[in-house]
Amino acid sequence: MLEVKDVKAGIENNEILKGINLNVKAGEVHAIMGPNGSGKSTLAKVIAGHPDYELSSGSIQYEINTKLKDISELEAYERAREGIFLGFQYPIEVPGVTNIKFMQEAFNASCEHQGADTMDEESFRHYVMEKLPLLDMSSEFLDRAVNEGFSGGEKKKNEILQMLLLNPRLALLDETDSGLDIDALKTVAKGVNTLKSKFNSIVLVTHYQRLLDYIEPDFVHVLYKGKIIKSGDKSLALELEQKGYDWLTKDAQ
Amino acid sequence: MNFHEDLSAQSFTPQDKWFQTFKAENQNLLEKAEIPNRRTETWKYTNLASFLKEDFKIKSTASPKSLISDEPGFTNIHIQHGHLNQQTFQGLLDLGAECTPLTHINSDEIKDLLTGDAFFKNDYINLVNNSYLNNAWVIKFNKNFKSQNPVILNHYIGEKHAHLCSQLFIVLEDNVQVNLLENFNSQDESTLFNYKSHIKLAPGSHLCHVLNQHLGLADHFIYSLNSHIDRDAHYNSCIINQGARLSRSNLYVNLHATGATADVHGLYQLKENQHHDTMSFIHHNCEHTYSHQLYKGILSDSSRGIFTGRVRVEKNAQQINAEQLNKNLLLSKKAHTNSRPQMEIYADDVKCAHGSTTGQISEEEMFYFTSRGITPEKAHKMLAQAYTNDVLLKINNLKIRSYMQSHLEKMDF
Repeated sequence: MLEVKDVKAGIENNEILKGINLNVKAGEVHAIMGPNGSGKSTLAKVIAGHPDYELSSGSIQYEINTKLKDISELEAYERAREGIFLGFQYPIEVPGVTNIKFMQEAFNASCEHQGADTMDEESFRHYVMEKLPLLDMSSEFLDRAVNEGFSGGEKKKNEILQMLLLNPRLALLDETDSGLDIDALKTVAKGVNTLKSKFNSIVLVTHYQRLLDYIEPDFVHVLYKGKIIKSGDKSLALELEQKGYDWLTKDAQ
Repeated sequence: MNFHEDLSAQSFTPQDKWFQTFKAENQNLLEKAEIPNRRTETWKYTNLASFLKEDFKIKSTASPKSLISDEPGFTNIHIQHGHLNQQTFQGLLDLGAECTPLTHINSDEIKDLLTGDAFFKNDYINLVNNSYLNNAWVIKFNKNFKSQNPVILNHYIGEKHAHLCSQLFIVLEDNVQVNLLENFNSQDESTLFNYKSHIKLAPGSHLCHVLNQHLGLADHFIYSLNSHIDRDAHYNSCIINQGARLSRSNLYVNLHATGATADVHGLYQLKENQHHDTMSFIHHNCEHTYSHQLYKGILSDSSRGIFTGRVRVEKNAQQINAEQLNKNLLLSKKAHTNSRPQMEIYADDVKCAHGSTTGQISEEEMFYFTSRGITPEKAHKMLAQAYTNDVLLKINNLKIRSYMQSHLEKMDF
């Protein structure tokens, strides 16, 4: 599904990722962990195609029509239409655009690209309404401006709602758990688990092991100073919870 | 250059004495007046002479055309080239409004109608309009009139190199409620349309008044507003300028008695080399009066938008509330804006706020949209529309508001 090979990337001559290798197959859940400032969010943004980041070397291969293709030249919207979704750490507030309009626009853009039928407002509303109970969201969220005045938890739920509507093949979730209370965390995890299937892959960027109690990862990677310094299975996350990052970062230095 | 002909060449229909005097006074002033230039404070950023290179001729006759179709759900009135006649108003007469030619109004009443007009007495464009005033009409809604249907005045302007002068008086008697949308359409034949509204709101009346100017890019539009708001009356206005090479708004809003409220909102959405200049003066003349002003500009290409907003609070106007905000969104590096919010406060117990911002579409918002598969072009358009939408949300009448929302959705940014 996704092959990140020796990726070096950064922002304005400041190299943040210093040779990342990551291989994600269909159906797998990967967790990227690491201390603050290690480059976790940057990695997610680079894969999603944020225009501020430049790839100085390496390649990002992603499966399109059953073939791996280098997507590093594709723009963010093109990657999204091929099924890459980025759940934002800090979802943006957009006054003046209603949530439903935003989601319908995104949904129809992907439908058009994939040659599927688009939906008019009424049928799209119906489709969204079906997903709301799963995330404990009320329909009033649809007619409010995108994320405007939403609480931290509501914003994250709104990200997961968008993810479920777009049904991406690769979901990159950037600290989706941060700032959530335990109930909201469970709801968000339930949403993510709904997406999980043998066709979809999920990459969770997280600071805490807590989320992994609810979304079970197949692989855990520790990112430190722009490099993956250790990979393992879910027991690695538990080990990190007990020992912190010091025992790994000392070795890396 | 000459944008008004020799007045002696004009022939007028017989009029009341006051009307002749009124025009004679204005003609005298006009002869002495200078075309506004950069030294004229109120025209500081708009060099009128440089915009009006064509030789404009005042036109008093025009061939009738009917190009604008009726909007369903509205009472439609069509006005050709600013010229009005009894037939034009049939829809309004059916509603129960009174339409009277200005020349049939007696001199006592006219004094009342022209209250506040002194504000414009030194304005060149206004002097031209008054001097050539031929056939203005007074639309009056009698006591307790309430219209369910909004009224649309469809102005159609299309006379090559013509300077069309027109004035309309709108009078709401006690407790009247009216919703009015004025549409300005043209065939883009470089017309200069010099249009003035006199709005008089009697106690307890409510007028929702929206101007939708989308003339051709060779046209020029100069709008003057003389409004007078009485006790507990509410003037809810929104002026939208999208068309015309040059558009200028001269607004005078007089909050005359306790409880008077004015919403003086506006939007200018410009492209290419369009130039817009709003000069607004909100006058708090009495205690417990309220004004709200949100003026937004969206500027593409090498367009230029100017906002000068003056709010004056007289000494006796205690406990008033005045809010004013001008915001500009620059979509290109060559676009230019000047923003001058001004407050002049002589009372000591008031609540006043004003401000101005200028910015660009945020890159993070763009990335949020594109990361969802929306093209940058579409994202740009949606975000620019979102920017205009909060001005439209200030329009109290829902029918006019949704009409304007769908109208602006069709616009390119």
